[in-house]
Amino acid sequence: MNQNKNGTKDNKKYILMSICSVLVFLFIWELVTDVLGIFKSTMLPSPVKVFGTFIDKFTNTKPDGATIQVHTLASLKVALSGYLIGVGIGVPLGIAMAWFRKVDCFVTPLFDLLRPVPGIAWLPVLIVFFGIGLLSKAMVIFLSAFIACVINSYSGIKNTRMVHLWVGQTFGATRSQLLFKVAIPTALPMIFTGLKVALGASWNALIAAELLASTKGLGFMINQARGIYRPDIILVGMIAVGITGAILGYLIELLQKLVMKRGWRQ
Amino acid sequence: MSGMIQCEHIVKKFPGVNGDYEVIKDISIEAKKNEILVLFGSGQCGKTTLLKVIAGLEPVTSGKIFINGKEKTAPGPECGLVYQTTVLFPWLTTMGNVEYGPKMRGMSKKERREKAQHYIDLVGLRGFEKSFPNQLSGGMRQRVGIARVYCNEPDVLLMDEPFGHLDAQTRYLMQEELERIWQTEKRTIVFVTNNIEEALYLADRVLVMSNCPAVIKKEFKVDLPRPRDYTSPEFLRLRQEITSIVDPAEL
Ligand SMILES: Nc1ncnc2c1ncn2[C@@H]1O[C@H](COP(=O)(O)OP(=O)(O)OP(=O)(O)O)[C@@H](O)[C@H]1O
Ligand SMILES: [Mg+2]
Repeated sequence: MNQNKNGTKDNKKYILMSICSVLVFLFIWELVTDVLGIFKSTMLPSPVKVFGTFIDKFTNTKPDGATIQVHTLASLKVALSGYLIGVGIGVPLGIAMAWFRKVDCFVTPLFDLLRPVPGIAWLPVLIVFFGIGLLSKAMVIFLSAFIACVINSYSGIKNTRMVHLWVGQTFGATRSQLLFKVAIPTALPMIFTGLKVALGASWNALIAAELLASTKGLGFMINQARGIYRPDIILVGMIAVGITGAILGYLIELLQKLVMKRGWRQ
Repeated sequence: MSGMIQCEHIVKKFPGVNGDYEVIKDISIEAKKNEILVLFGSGQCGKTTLLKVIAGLEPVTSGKIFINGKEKTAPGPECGLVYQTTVLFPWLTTMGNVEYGPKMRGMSKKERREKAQHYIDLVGLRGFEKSFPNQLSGGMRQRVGIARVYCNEPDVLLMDEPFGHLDAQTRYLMQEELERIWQTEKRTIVFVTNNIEEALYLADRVLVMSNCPAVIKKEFKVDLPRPRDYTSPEFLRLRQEITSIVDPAEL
């Protein structure tokens, strides 16, 4: 009880400190831009200016041809389609590689060759094949998500304890029941880690891809703004990327809480 | 065939770098229905290996095993194991763990819930159905382990030092509990231990195992009335007798 009280007290302190640190940061930023004029607004716009631009971008399609919602949705569409395909193929493949010896022997060498190549490094090849449309970017995202999913699902299944398999066997479980009722539950925390890492990787890869080659999306917006010296839009783009990424992360955290009940947690 | 368990000349060797490593050297065991057979042996003498072989989890090098008259070659629901350490599924509640076996065999939900509840009550865990293993004490987890094998209705229960990791107090309590459970619903139990009091408290017969490679050194019939008194003269005499045939160097 006492400890609990202390806990909430510490928590309040922590929140207060976090707010302070953000405020100090904004204050210094404002100080060196608008107030003291150390940085010119064509280089580093003030927080007030950035905030204004941010609000403005909800309705203003200039100078990059679309509002910020449209760009965000465009980015999300590519990121999520690549991500979902990556998860849909990566997780089952990782599980199969860990569970079936033959699949392991056949696929793992290939996979080990693929693994160290960052997803984004595929972009030039993919552009040659598919142009700079949705497909090549979705492929980059797919590869980034796919690799994280395979690695984590694989080690998750490999974590299965021998004794748990014995328990299953002496309870008359079939081979597929051992997989679905012993190994996959064991692997679930790792699979979720994979889903999270993959989501982060997808979002990063997408923005990188859009910076390099695109006709819409947040990365495109940032890149356009760079071309015409609008650092305020660059910063707005970065903030939108950050917020969207955080929301995605939060959603998957929520999904994990729904799927995995108490027993999995320490 | 009369026995519930019939092991004939079991030999078990593990392949090693310097030739085979013989862990079990010719063991024959017989257990009658509803008997508690205790295998008593020192550490690392091959007790776990013997149970795994009986359960079909390890193939024998030679010899034959019959459970309830049928030859045992692969693991299956005829033999239930209670393990040295907790091996409950951490992602399942007490109820989930206990109903696991019937569920694997496709029993309907209502039926297996009723059955699981019965055994949860039997081991004294009513009220903890929704608890996860990490919310239970060591003794309670072993109770769940016992309920779980009971619920699967095997012909034979194999228990591998199930109370070895509990503190002394809980250990005594669990021995009494196991006896009570067994008195309420009799089963054939093979119980492995390296604790002489535990062996004598529970056993109808005690088989003393030698060190690796294991053989059965001697068999003791324990005819004392249950529940047993750790301090009765007969208990102490048997204890003395068994201790004397175990070479002190082996302990
Ligand atoms: N799969 C295996 N491969 C090779 N050697 C093994 C294997 N399993 C057990 N052994 C060896 O067999 C011997 C007996 O092991 P076992 O676990 O059966 O003994 P135990 O009596 O159960 O020991 P404890 O008292 O520690 O529970 C040990 O020396 C061990 O190293
Ligand atoms: Mg052992």
